[in-house]
Amino acid sequence: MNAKFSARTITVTAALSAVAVVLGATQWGFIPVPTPAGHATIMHVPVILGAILEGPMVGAIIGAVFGLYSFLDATLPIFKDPLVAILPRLFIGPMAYYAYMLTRRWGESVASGMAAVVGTVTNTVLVLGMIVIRGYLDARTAWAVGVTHGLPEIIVAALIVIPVVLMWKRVEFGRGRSRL
Amino acid sequence: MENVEFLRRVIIGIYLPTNSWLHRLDVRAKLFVFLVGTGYATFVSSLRAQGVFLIWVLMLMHTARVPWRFAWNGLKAALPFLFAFGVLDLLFAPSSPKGVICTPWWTLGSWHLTNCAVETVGLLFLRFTVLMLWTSLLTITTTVVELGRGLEWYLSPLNRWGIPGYEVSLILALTFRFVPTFALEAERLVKSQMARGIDLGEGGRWRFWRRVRAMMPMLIPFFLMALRRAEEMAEAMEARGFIGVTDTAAAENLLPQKGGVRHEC
Repeated sequence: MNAKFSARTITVTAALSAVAVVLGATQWGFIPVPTPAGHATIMHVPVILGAILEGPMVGAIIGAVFGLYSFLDATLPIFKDPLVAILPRLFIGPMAYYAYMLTRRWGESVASGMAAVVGTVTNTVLVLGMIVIRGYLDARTAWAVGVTHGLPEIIVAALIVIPVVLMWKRVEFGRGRSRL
Repeated sequence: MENVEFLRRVIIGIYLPTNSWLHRLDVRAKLFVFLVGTGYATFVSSLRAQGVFLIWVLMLMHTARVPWRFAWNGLKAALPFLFAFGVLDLLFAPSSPKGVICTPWWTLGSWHLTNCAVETVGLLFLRFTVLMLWTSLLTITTTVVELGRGLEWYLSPLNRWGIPGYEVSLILALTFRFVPTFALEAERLVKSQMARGIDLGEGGRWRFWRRVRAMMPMLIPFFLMALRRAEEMAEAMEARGFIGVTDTAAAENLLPQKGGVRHEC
């Protein structure tokens, strides 16, 4: 059987999945914000990065690992529902990838910024949408949570995704390497 | 300083080796029952059915020799959130859903406390209690490596329909391998920034910007380190002639194999 994924795709997917797990397990991926839940998360950032660097399928797989992790290890009881924890996360990668591809002609930084925004909005909207559909919160409360959490998450995601993508691509093209 | 000892904190669930029959059960059977049970707890909206399932989960926990204190500790962390959601639901959820006749128990201005609202909150409590205990029962009785092997078995037939089952299982195995390494790297990055006098701003939720600015010099190198590691590993794999996926991992181990070992490399 020929591998459908190259060695590089496999290792990048695994590394970014591991980053998502480490960010969650060490609580390093939670940035305190003044809201009832207490923190904004950046655990979805590896999903966006994976989608930009390796495509929508990789984004979906990292999203699945992120979802599975948040399902198995959630302290927030709502994430013990697989429809809230896992399903919405599968869409972050593909959405971020298409946002990136559509805006690529305006330059790498605009495209990766758009991917960060679209990926984060997908995460927030789909997770909260599912919470409302499943009847755990009413729509008004979900809106309030979405705005107070979504905005800081978008800002932080863009602040990480843009420099990482720019630096990584430059290294790949062999331009910006430091010389001793 | 203790909160930057990341390696100690990367535990996915807590495995408790009591060597019960549930521990010894084939991981594939466990995963199947787990999926069915999760589906049941997620979709069934009857208080009585959830109650029966809760009793069954508690009985399983007892036969798996899980101390009650252990189960309670897992639930305790979630209780404040459960209460918060319960209160929000009572305050804002529609007191009488469409097509259902509800009896108002208590009225305060335009707000009514009805039997329907109480039932909704009761179901929410019961469902999450069941799901918390159910997932912790899986992680208490199954190691992460075993879980990976079980998933690999379930994913392998998907290959026929174009979904890369083998690749996904290799990705899972590599993820488990990367996690402790990355936790150590993260620890190193945080400690080196702390040695330079960085203020992590643990103190308050209102210091969002300060915290973000302090985190950036650690997070960006962390992501780049992960990508660099991935690149190095890909080169190492290609240098050793990796062109496809072998199935030797399953041969070593936890899943009983029938017949020969598949080599596809």
